Amino acid sequence: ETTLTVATVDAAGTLRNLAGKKLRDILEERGAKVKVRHIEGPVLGNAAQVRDQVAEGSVDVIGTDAAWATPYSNFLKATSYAFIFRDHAHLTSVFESDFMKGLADQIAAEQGVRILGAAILPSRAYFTSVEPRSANDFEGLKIRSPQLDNWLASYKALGANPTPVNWNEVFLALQTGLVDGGHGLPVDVKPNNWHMAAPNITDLEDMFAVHVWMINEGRWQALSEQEQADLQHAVNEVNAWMAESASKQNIEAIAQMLKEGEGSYISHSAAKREAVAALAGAEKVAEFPNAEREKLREMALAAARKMEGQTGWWDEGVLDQIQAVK
Amino acid sequence: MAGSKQPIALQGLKRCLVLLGNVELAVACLLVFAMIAMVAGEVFYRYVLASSLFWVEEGAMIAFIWITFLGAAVAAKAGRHIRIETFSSRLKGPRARLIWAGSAHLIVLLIAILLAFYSYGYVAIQSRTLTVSLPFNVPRSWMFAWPLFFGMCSIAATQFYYLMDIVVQKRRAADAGTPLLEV
Amino acid sequence: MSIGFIFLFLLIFVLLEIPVGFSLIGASLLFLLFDGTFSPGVVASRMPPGLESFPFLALPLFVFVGAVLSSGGIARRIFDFANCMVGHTRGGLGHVNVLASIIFAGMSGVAQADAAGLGRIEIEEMKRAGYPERFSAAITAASSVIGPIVPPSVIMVVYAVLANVPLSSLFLAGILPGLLMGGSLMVAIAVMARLGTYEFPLQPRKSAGERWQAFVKAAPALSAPALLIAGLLTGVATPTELGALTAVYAIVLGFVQGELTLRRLWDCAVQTVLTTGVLAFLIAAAAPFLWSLAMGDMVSWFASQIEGLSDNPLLFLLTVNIILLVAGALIETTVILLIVVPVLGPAMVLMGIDPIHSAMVIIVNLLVGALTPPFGVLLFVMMDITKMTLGQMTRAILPFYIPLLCVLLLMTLFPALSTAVPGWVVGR
Ligand code: NA
Ligand code: NA
Repeated sequence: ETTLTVATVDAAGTLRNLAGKKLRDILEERGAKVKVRHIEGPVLGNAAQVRDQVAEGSVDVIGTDAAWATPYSNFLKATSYAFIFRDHAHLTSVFESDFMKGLADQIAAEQGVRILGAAILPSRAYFTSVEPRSANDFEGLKIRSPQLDNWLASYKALGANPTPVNWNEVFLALQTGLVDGGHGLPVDVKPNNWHMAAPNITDLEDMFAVHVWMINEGRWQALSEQEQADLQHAVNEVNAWMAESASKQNIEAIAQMLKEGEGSYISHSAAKREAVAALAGAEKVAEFPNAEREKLREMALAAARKMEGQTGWWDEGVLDQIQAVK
Repeated sequence: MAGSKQPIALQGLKRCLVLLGNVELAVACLLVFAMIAMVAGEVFYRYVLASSLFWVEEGAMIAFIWITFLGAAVAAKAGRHIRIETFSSRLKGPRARLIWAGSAHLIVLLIAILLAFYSYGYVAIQSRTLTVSLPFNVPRSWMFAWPLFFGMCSIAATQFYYLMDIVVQKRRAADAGTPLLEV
Repeated sequence: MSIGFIFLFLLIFVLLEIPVGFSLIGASLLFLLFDGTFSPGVVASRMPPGLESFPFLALPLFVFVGAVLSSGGIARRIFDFANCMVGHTRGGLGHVNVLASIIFAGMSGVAQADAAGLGRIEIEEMKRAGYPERFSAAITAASSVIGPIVPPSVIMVVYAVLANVPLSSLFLAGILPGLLMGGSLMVAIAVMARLGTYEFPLQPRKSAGERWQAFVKAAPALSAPALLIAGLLTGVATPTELGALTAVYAIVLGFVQGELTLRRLWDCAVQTVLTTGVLAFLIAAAAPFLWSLAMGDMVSWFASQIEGLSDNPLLFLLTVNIILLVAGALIETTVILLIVVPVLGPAMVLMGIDPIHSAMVIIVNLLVGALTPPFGVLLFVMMDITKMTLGQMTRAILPFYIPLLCVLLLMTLFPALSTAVPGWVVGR
């Protein structure tokens, strides 16, 4: 019997925290030989630190935002960069492609960390006090950014002014005007109350949230074939559950935040506006013109092309390779 | 002065450690000023030049972690680490006190050696990920494993000196094991 | 091996008089070694990342600010200013002592700096004016507690990082209790004057001209805390950034007034390095210890234990107060924080106690503990300055426990005393 230590870092009650519990329960219900000890909350360190602990082998598995895997591969940097993917389905196909499977093997060999699978979650939204209606409105906007170069580059490409702020301090930073906006998955944002300080929720589907499970490669290789299969099965099941409940809860979370705050939901997507309006009322939604979104998309992609092939960025041709995936 | 009763080798070690301590202190002091300049500079950039220096957070963090472990090494040389006095004042006779103090120095010496050993082991793993925002990317081992390794080596050498000082001078010197630096 | 053993190891090392930082490291190493689940190397991998938190940078910055301001003759100007304002009242220099501490608290982050730096001037002046030494020493020690309650505060920096609470909220939360603490000490002095506990000499009232002059001299110093608090209230910068800005301001001020030299500036950096090397090192040393506790499910175990003990958060908070007061009298404040906060913090949140409220109660409690024999560090600073014995010191400070404990009790009973100011800023 093997017990794996699994950490999900996010606070109790969040989607990731529940996913960690679910992973443990699925394996238990199947009577699998591999068991999970789930460590809740940020008690082992922040996401980057726990990721390093997985690499070192003191923690076995981490379930976290894919952003924290980007330092392992220049290709993965492209997955947390604005407008690289056409839509949710496109991103899903890229993650299911053979190329991605090869990449997982390569990262495991080079970094000692294996990506077990990903859950493709809904898009992130901008939470701002102003109501952006055009590409110009992003010019100079101080947007909170995590300490990762692809995010910084991505916000800069849109003309915004990325400001690094600790996730825990974002609400206060919004409140006091240290930053003008935050960017995050609405279900993740809701418990942090950003909408009380920055009530306008702009969803341009420029970046999707991706959740990954990473395991220490030595630990993975030490598992029997049956144990590997059981774990993989459980991870896949949890990922499916996460993707489904996130998309279900996301619209509800947006509607709930609109009711609590004074702002609107702004999106280019008519279908999404309709779904939100059904829950929060038609007066709470507004349109972001498609042409303006197109402008932002071109700015982001032009900057991305410029970085292609430069040291520390994705290889020449990667962007075309991604676009070629159906 | 008890120092004159020390064997030549121990005197030499003492001189080296005092020099090392002063260098550590000087470097750490410069890092303090660098940290102030970086963080204040970021605010200046944000409000006066309306752009942000996003490498400051990482740069200041590296400075802070080095200040901590260099400072810990200096504090060991100055005898400033916080400890809770329990039995030492109740011990009778200088000999019992020296044995008591000597064993404490020995334990810290062992802990420092172990930590130096283990931290060196993490250099390779931590070097796989780099800092992200600095103008030139630095392996994360320069933020974590190296400052700890350096601090622990310095502390181990310091503890070794204190221990030897007590062992060599056990009968005569009342001031055996007195701190190396006065700051 | 049960996780409880890690505490046993810690106790053994501490009793052997191993420095607390190395005791924490040693306990984690031994536990991991005997437990066998993880490599003891975890200790080395966890220590430096334990420091990787931006609010933490405020620690050396505010230590540096305190050092520069007290070396630049600013403590003297603050004292003179306070003296001109309230010096003529009955028990006058007692009130001056408290008022000066409140102002000084707005720039300094540690109680020892107040007690040792400003305290020396206060005791000297009170002696010259003919105040009883016991009273002077007692009120100087008692008022130095205000230092880390009013922002900036090093202990709050440590707390914020350990408990994952926004540092700016904690800083803001300290303003009201700090003023309340000062006010209650002044009431105690007035009562003592009326009851005739001590023979207080009287000083003449200062003229408006003298007051103006003292104000002008102290104005640059008075503006430092004013700028800091304004910065916090408006949120133009994070507490860490405000630390750096105040440092720059203090350096410029020191040089302009001609009281700061390069030599003194360097000494301030030396003090900062030493304090950081001791305090931040302790925090790094606690990281693997806390990591082991988390891996051993200690936090959830503790939470479930106290859940069974009491459903009454208020009763719980009162019990915590009593235990911490005893602990604070025996052990250094930062050391208690490091061990208590990560375990107690989540449990208190589970019980529905506001995290800012519980933070302020714990912090004020531990500071009062630092004033309590046998090991209260602030008493030792005073004994060093006045050459009084611990017995004399304890008897002199006894009456001041009444106002201090009253404030602590009020803060325990009324969360709003802690949460109102940050709530007001956040709710705007
Ligand atoms: Na005072
Ligand atoms: Na203060």
